[in-house]
Amino acid sequence: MTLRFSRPAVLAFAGALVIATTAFAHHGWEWAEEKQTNLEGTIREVYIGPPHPSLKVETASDGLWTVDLSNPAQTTRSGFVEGSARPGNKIVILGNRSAKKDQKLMKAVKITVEGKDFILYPERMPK
Amino acid sequence: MEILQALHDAGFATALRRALTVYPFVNAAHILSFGLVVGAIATLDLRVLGLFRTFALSQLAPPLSRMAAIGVGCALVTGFLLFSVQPLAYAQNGPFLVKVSLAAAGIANALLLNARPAWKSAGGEISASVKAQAAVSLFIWIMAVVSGRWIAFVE
Repeated sequence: MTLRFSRPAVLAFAGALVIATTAFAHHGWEWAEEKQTNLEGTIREVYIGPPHPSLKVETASDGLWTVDLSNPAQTTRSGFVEGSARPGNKIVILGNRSAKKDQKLMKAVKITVEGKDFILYPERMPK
Repeated sequence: MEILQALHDAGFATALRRALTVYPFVNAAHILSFGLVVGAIATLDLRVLGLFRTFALSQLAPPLSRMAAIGVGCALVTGFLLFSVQPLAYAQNGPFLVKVSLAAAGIANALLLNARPAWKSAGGEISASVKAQAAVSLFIWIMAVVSGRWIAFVE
């Protein structure tokens, strides 16, 4: 058995891999709805740290949502740190929901925990 | 579950979550580590499969195998540290479990090949089964990188 790979074949394979692994970007806002909406619920889990801080929020009638916050540095800058929220706290999230209707995932612009605001993306706040 | 919680609560895991500037270095070290693995292993696999025929396997195999082994060792250490920040979440992450399984299969495959070194000796004939293992190795490591990258893109 002899296997030979032509140079174009190897390059094409490498190119396809690069496209396959970068096309599906979770970062940015393109994957989310354009309009901002509110989501209300009770915090179930708080994760603060790298690579990405996030919350699990139980809603009254729409199940458990995952809420992506900003990156660790920006989240810290908003004032949201360890101890800012704990499971059981009431929360209102202003942000963009996933454009996929069956995906309970939202990217937060501002969160309000027990009445206290944390603005994660000041530049995206409604005027 | 308890052991994962204990890892989550370990001092170094907590420190890694709190110190904003350490994680990116560990992350970069992990990428460098598996970059070494894939770079060295892919070159060796392709040589076994018939590329770079002018370079003797007996010359190429030892340094490439060693670099790959060093890469695997560093990837395990850095990967364990990255895992420790959110062990419970990663343990339930599909792509992560696929990635770890693929890496284990890749390591086992390499150890098996290393255990019968006839193919590395000068002028030794490369058997079809060794070539098949090289092809499998190439596939496994590429898919391990792809599934590893996928970890961040599922909920």
